[in-house]
Amino acid sequence: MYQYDQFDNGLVSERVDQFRGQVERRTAGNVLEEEFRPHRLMNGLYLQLHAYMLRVAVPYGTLNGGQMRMLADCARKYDKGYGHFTTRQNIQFNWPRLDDVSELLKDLSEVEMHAIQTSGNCIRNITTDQYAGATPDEVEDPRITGEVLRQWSTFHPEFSFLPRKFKIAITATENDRAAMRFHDIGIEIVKNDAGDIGYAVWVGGGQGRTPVIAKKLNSFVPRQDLICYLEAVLRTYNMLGRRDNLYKARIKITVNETGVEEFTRLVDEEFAAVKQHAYEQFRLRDEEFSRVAAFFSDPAYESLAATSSTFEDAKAKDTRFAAWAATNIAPHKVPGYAIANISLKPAGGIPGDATSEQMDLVADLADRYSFSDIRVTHEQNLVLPHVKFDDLYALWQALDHIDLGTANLGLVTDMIVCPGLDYCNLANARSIPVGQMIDARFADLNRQHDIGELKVKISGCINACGHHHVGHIGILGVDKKGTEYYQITLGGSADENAAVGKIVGRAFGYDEVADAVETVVTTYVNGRDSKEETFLSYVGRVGLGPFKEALYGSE
Amino acid sequence: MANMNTKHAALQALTANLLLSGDVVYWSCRGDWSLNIQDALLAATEDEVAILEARIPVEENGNDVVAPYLFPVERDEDGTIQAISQREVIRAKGPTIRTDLGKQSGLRPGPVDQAA
Repeated sequence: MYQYDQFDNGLVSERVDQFRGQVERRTAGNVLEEEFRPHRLMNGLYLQLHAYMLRVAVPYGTLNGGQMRMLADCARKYDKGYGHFTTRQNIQFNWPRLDDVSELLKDLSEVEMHAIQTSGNCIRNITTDQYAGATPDEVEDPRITGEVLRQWSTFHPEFSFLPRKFKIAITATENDRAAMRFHDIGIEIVKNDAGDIGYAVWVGGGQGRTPVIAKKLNSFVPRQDLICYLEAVLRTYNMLGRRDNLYKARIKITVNETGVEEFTRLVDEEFAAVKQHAYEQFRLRDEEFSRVAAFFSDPAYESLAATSSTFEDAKAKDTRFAAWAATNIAPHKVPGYAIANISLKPAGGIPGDATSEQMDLVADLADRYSFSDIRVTHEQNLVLPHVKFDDLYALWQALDHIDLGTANLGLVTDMIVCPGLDYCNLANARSIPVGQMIDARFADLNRQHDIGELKVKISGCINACGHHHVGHIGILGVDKKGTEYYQITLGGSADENAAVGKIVGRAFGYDEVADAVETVVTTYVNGRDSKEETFLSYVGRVGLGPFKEALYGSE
Repeated sequence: MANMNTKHAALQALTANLLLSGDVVYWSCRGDWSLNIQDALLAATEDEVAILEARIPVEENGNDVVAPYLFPVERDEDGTIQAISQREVIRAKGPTIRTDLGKQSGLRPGPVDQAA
C-alpha cells in the first residue's frame, strides 16, 4: 500500500499541530465557537447528540494491520472501546473529548492516518472497490488512481470551499461494487479498442433528498488527461454551483439546472483551457503513475493449486463454515487464494460497529493470512483480500470466536444502516433499532440463504447516509409531529444496473416496519418464478402492484 | 420561574453540549449547567422564555458550552421533567441501542465540574 513520503508526513503532522493550537485557543476563550467550528469540521470533528464525533479517513478503504491496531487503540484510549465503519469506507469515533482529539490525531499520524477533508465542502475521501487488486475481472487496480487523486485533492486550494461536499468513487470492473453512479464524480477505469487504459467519467450522481444517477460526460479520458479533466469538471461546478440554497448546491442540481449538454460543453471548454494553459502542471505523467503504482504491486503470492482439500474437507464437516463460504468469499485473481469478507452485521449487533478487541483480532488475522491487507467496504463490512483457501477455515474459526464469522454477506441481514437518531444530530428517526428488529425477524440463516441476495438499506433522514434510495428494500425514517415513521422504497440498486427505489405507499410506524419488510419478502418468495429470480428481477417483472396489495390491501 | 406539578406541554428548557466533553447539559435553577435534566430551569410564560432565551447569546460568546438552544419539556404528575421529542429523550438518556452508554449508564447528578 502507499507509504507517506516526507511531504505527506510533514503535511499531516503540521495539521495536527495547527489543530492543537486551534483547540487551545478555543478552550482558553480566545476564539468563539462560530470561529472554531469551521476548523474542527475541516478536521473531521462534528458535534453530535451526545458528544463529539471524529471521522477518520481510510483512503480508498485500505488499511494495514498496524493501522487497524492503532484504530483499536484509539477507540480504547480516547473513546468507549469501539468504532463505526461508514459508507464512505471511513471510521467514526462517537465519544472523543475535544481536548483529547489532538493527541488522537497525533497517534493516527504515526500510522499515516488523519481526519483531513472528512467534513466540509471539499473533496471527501475517495472510495473504490473493496476487492481492488484482488479481483480477477478488473482492468487495473483502482487504488492507484485513488492515490493519485488523493494527492491531487488534498488541500487543493481552489476546491477547499466548493458549493457543497464532493464525493468521488472509482471502479475498474463492470460489476460496480462502489456505487459509482451515485457519486458527484464516478470514475470507471476502461480499456479502449486500441488497448489503452483510460477513464469514463460520470458526473452528477448522488442520493440525499434528490437521488440522481450520474450521467456519463466522457467515455474515454486518456490517463495523462485525467486530472486536467477533473479540474475542468470541478472548476465548472465551482463557478456554476449554487451557494444560495444548501439543498440545491450539489453538482447533481447544477448539471440538472444547466442541462447535461450545456454542462458537458462548458466542461469541454474548460478542459481545453486547462490543457492549453496548465498542461505541464496537471498532466499525469507515466513515471508518476508508475511511481504510485509500485506501492500497489502484488504481494508475494505462493504458487498454489486452484483447489484445496483442506477447504473442501472443512466445508463438508462444518455446515456453518460451508454457509459462510457460500456467501462471504469471492474469487481471487490468483489460483489458490480467495477474497474473504468479514461481516460487521452479527445477529443483534449494530451494523458497522467493531470493538477494539475485534479490530485487534482482524489486524492479527490480516497479518497472518492476508499480507496485512484489510479493506473497509461501503456496505460497512471488512475484507481480507488475499487469503489462501487452505487458511479459510482457520480464519473463519478465529472470526467466529469473536462474533465476526456471520454468514450473511449480501443477504437480508447484511444491511447498511446509518447511525440515525441514536447518535446523529441531523436524524429525524432511529435507524439502528429498526435494523435490529428486521435482523431478529430474519434470524434464521437458512431462511436468509433461501431468500437469496437482498440489500436492505436504512436512513434516519433524507440525507440518505444509509443509502435507502438504492436499497433493494429502502427504508427512510421521517418525523411526523414528533413520531417516527418509515417510508419503504423498492427496486433501488447501487451496482452497474443503477436504479432509484420507488415509494411503495404510506409510511409505517416504528413497530410496524419489521412486519412490512417481512410482507415484502414473503410476497417476493411466494411470487418468484424460481430461486434464480432475484428480488430485483422480481420487482422489475411485476412492479409494485403485488407489494402494494400485500401491504395495504384494499386501503 | 415555573414550578408546576401538573403536566404542561408548553414548558421550555435550555440545553447545550459541554465544550470539552461534549456532554449534554441543561441550564439549571441554580444558574449553572447541570448534566441532569431534572435540574433544568423551566420557563412557562413568554417572559420566562425570553429570559431563558437571552441566555443563549451569552453562552454562545463564552467557552463553557456549544450550541445552546431551547426545547419543549413537560412535567409528569410526580414532578419528573420529561423531554417531549424523541431526539431530546435520546439526548437526555443516551443511545437506545447501547444502554451501557450515555447518561442512562450512570447519571451524575448536580452541577458540572468543568475539569471532569
